[in-house]
Amino acid sequence: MTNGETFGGSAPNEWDQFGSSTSFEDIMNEQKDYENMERIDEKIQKDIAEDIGSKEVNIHQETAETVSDPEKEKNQAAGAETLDAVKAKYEKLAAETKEKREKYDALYIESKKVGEKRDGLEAELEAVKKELDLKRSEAFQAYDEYRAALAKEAEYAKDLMPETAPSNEEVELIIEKGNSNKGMMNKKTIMIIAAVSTAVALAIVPTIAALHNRNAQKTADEQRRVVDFTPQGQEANPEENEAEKDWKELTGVDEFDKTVDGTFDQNKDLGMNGTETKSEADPDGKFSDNSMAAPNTLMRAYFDTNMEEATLEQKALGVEMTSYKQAETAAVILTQVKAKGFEGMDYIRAVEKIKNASEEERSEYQDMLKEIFDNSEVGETSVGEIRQALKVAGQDETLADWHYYMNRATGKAEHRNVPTGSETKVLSFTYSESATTETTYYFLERCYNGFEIHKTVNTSTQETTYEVTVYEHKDNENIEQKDYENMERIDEQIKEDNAKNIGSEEVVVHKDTAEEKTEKPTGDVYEGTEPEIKQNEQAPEATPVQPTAPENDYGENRGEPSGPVQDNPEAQQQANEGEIPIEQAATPEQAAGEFGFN
Amino acid sequence: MENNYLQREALGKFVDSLIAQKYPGQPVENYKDFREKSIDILDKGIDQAIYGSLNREQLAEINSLFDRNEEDPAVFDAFFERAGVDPQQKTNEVLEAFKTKFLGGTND
Repeated sequence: MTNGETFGGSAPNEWDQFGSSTSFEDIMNEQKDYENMERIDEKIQKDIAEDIGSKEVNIHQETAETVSDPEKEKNQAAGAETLDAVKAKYEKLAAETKEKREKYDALYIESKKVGEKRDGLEAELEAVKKELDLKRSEAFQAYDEYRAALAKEAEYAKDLMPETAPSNEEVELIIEKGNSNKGMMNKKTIMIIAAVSTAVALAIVPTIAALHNRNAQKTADEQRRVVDFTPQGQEANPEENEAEKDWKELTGVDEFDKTVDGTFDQNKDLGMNGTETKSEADPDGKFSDNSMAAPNTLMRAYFDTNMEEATLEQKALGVEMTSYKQAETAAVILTQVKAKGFEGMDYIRAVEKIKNASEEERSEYQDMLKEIFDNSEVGETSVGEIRQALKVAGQDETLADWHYYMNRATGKAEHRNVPTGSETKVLSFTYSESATTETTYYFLERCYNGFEIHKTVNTSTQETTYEVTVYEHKDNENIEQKDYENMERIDEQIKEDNAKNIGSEEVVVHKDTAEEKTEKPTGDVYEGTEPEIKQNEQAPEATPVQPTAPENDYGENRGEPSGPVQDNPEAQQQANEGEIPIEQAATPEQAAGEFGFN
Repeated sequence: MENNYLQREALGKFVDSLIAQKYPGQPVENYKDFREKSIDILDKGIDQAIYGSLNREQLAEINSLFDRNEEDPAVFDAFFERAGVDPQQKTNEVLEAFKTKFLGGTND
């Protein structure tokens, strides 16, 4: 190994302190110079020591010889001072030189040692690196094994040891903290509203769920068509009405026709005779002659406006206060109806039951329903609000009004008695509680199909109190009303003509065809009278008709139901499953005490 | 406390519907005291059902979330998921239990 290899490229920097030397050769040469300098230094010092004594002697000698020359003495003194300064400078430099030399020697010896060990160190470093990698790899593996073992141990411990159940105090503390935490309270609010919505909706009627399941493939709009009221002034078109098909398919009866197209005589079919009432919209009380709407119509309206809407809204919007408010309205009414002898029935069967009941029973049902609607504490619901609104507006808030409004909504509306015109106010009332605004409007729009509802904020200090004014819609001009009147007159005229001209029409037909086939009779002039009825004296005497078995006895011969509605024990049982068992009744106080949260 | 108001409002609707089923035709006003008491019971019951389902370690964990004023519902969702507790189901169960207890039958 040479010196050059030992110090490499970094040597010059390390040795810069020694001057301009840039290689080891130069340094070694300088080393020689230093050694020479040392010898020279020693010689100089020796010489100086010898020379000082001789000079002093000489100076004394010269002083003795030149005492009388002051200029010469002055020069001698100056020469002595110069010598002392040079001596001091030399001694300082000599000390520095010695120090540098010692440093150099030490560094030189060290450099030689490092240079000799370098190769061995590199090899050793390489071996250490490999060993380190190996150890690290083993450590990682060991760590993984440790974690796996730890998990196993935890699992094993979990199986063996009971969970550390917190004390009641600990839970109470967390409850208190949780109820002060905004994030957790938001979550709790959402959970409660969702749970209440679900619970209330489930509590209403299983029938709706069945109806929805049956129409699950339909869109929401199509489902709504089932309950889409025929607009005023328009005839329902049975052929295009899919709702009618669904209805018949679902119920097996023609209730749909009898309610939606207005041909159903509620008084006659349901035996409901009501009190005569009058209202601003119906001043003569002509259309309020029924004390209540037909239950099927009314209930359907509740279902359709409340239940289905609530269900759809809840699905679409998550949870909405107005949704379960609507659902609650239906729940309040329907659960009460069901509790009065209609347990386990959907409203379709309830209507059937009413229809098939005796006169006395129907009267009882009528009273029962009226009582429910009159006494139902639905003051916070849309129904109650509208009732209250009607009362405030001076309207008759009884079910007669409902009947009237519902009939309007179903297309049976009687335009003639409603003031018309684009700015005619037909109803004005106030209501409060903004939470039900949407519900109220929705219902009013259904009832006042074809009308326009205006809302203005009341002058009341309560911001949630509104004054609602209902106007005839601009599109509902007098033309429609005239058509109605004309149509009725035309209908009456046609009926009258038909009654008179049956015979003449037959003759006219013969007359027209005879023109083409035979000659026109000349002397026989038709006078438009009814055909003469004559007794055929020669006809054989009639024999009494004997009763025979019907040809299509579905009930016996084919084993099929003979009527549209039959008791279905299985369905009844399924419906009953959604009902609440009668046993284990508890009072509110008992329930509160027994619930176990106290 | 808007949340507290909404929670009580919702629970009140639930209790009202039960009262209407249990006592059809009766004014809800007759049951004002019971209504308020029921709301308190339900509210407390929901809390106990949720937090009572947690073990001590899980309580300590959610306690730390409360201590640092965590407000992100997603954080709580993740916590309950890890803890194996479905708070929505617990809430539903509390309402259902109350309903079953209260509507043991009708007083007709």
